[in-house]
Amino acid sequence: MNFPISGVYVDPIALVVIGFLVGILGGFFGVGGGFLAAPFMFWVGVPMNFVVGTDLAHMTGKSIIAFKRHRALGHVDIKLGAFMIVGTMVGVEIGAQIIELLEAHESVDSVVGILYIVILLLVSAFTAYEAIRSLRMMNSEGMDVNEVVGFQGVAKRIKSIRIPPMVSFPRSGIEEISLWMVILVGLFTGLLAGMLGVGGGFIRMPMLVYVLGIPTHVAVGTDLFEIIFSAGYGTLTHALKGNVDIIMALVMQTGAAIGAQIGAVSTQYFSGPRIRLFFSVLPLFGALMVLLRLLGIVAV
Amino acid sequence: MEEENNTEQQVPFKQLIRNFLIEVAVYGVLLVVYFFVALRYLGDPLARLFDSNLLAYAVIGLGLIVVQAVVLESVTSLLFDFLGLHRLTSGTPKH
Repeated sequence: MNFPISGVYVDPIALVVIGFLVGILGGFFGVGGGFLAAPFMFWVGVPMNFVVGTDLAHMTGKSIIAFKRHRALGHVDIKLGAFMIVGTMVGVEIGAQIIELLEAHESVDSVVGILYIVILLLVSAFTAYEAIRSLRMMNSEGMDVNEVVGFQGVAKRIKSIRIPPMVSFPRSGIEEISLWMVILVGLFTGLLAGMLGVGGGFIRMPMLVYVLGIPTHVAVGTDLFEIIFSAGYGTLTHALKGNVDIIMALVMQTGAAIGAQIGAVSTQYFSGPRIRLFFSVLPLFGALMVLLRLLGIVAV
Repeated sequence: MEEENNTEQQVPFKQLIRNFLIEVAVYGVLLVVYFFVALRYLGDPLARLFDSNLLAYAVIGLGLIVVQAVVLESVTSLLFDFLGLHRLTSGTPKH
């Protein structure tokens, strides 16, 4: 199929399949899935300058679909997501500025890349450790499948900080928390996303669970709510630079629609710890992609 | 294991797969029609807009993505419900 905007012929079936696979991941884990979609898009012939922007456009639509399904299931805390967006947007801008400042140094790509790999490996190892611990607690102590989290120390400390204004998030089971803590979490994930040039889903979902103490299913749905805005904003900025092929994104979205529904519905069949255990594998793929990029083996 | 059995009692697995395949087939037909009708006629006007006015292209492009997402969500939800896949959403069997 000819895509007149980017001026290339790309098999639409391949784009639909990529959308479908990334849609399942997005619906199930609440991540954007750019780490998977971008290399595949490049592989099927999407020009390099269109890969990131077009992926962001498709990610926006896919997140809307998965968000709506999660919302129907009661897995979205819109109030929490809205507060976090403020921090995320500021964080993304600060992160991008830091990168611009660092670009004067030739080694910035390597330093940021290595930092990213280390962070992802730590997230993966910690999430796997905690999820396995939670599953053991579930089995041995018969704890509530929805409540069990093997690591609650940070969340308890964060909730004990009482810097006004204090807010509550009933949907997330939070009676009271300082608004600044919520914004700070958004800021931190946005900062990393801005610095590392990737979506924050890898980091945001575990942060919501371990730092704010939110149930995994709600963390997934709320993360998707945030991605709608962050990816939508990214789509606009990339489109203004001429880096988005909307037709291509619309084609990908057709596959993502059904994938996102399947992913979102599937979350009901798995407990929080099991979702976190599966999730722990994802950052490894992200780390691998960055490593391959650093080594010059893949371009995106 | 008991919870898995509950799931199977809710919707027999074979029926679930059959309905899912029907959904994919119906959805596939809709996609082919959509590709040939909508995207074919959208391509050139959007390409011209891309060359002449990037701001309008960016805004309209994002609007199209949002509108298509809402429409596709409705279509896939309708298919899910119509084919009985909605029963997946009742009850919360977890393992």
